[in-house]
Amino acid sequence: MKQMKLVFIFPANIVEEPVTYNLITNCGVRVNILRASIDPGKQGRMVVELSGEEVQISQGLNYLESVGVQVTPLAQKIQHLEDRCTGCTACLPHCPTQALDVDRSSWSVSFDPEKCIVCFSCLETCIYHAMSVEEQFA
Amino acid sequence: MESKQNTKISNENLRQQYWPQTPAGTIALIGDLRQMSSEWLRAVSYTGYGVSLSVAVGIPIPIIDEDMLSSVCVTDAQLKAPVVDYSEFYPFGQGEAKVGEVTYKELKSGSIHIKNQEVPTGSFSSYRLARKVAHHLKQLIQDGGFLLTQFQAPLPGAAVGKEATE
Repeated sequence: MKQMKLVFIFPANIVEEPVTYNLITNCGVRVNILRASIDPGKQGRMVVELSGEEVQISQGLNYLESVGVQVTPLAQKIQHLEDRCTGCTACLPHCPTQALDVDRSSWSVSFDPEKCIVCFSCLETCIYHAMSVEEQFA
Repeated sequence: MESKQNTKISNENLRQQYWPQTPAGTIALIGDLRQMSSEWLRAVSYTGYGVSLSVAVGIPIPIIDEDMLSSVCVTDAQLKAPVVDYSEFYPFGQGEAKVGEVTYKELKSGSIHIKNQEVPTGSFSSYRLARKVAHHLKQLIQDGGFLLTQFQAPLPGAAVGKEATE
């Protein structure tokens, strides 16, 4: 059993097709949709957690590639800039997955990219701009 | 350097024993930006509000008598803060403004209980930087690099001298 968090970018021409349905029924992959959006240019963006056997997942990724869905790993998309972070903890209650946490004796904030679902809540909350996102998803 | 115009201290029914029960004072400061370190002075931007400055200030408190000692020994469990409704009351004036009262100890634990619900908490001030600036000041004092000046002026509204001890 393998598990991974991925970002799917759907080009505008296939945004109305049931890609996720095909991924589940044809490849047998378990898809947990963490976040999904379609921008005004009809490009879709979906953050998912895939789980299944290695064969099923590679079959699924091949299918996505064949229909033109761009797949990138999720982990590196949000960054915690420690030199800007003051450890104030304003972001903590806004993080839905507890990817941001604080050590309550040293009051230093830590960020676990594994838990992050790239919801951007911390970007809006942080007054020091200590959370940043890579350009392609900004 | 303290700026008199915008410093406000209120003494009316706010302090019980040694600590304020409601917000009791603000202090305005003047300083030379060019001599400051970006460690203690940061540009900030609040979504939906605008730009501002975040400043870490270290203020030494001389322990001149037992009253002063009691005042600085106040713990987080004794400091109270109101929980204000910003969803209905603040924008629309409906319902009640104050939905609860919690202590700083509870706030610093990471969650509080309001009307039987657990609510996560966060802070806008940094305890890490506050401690750092306090230790920096302590070091300056111990090394003889921070000296007291002559009394300049009383804090506006603050009781001073004999009056304060009554």
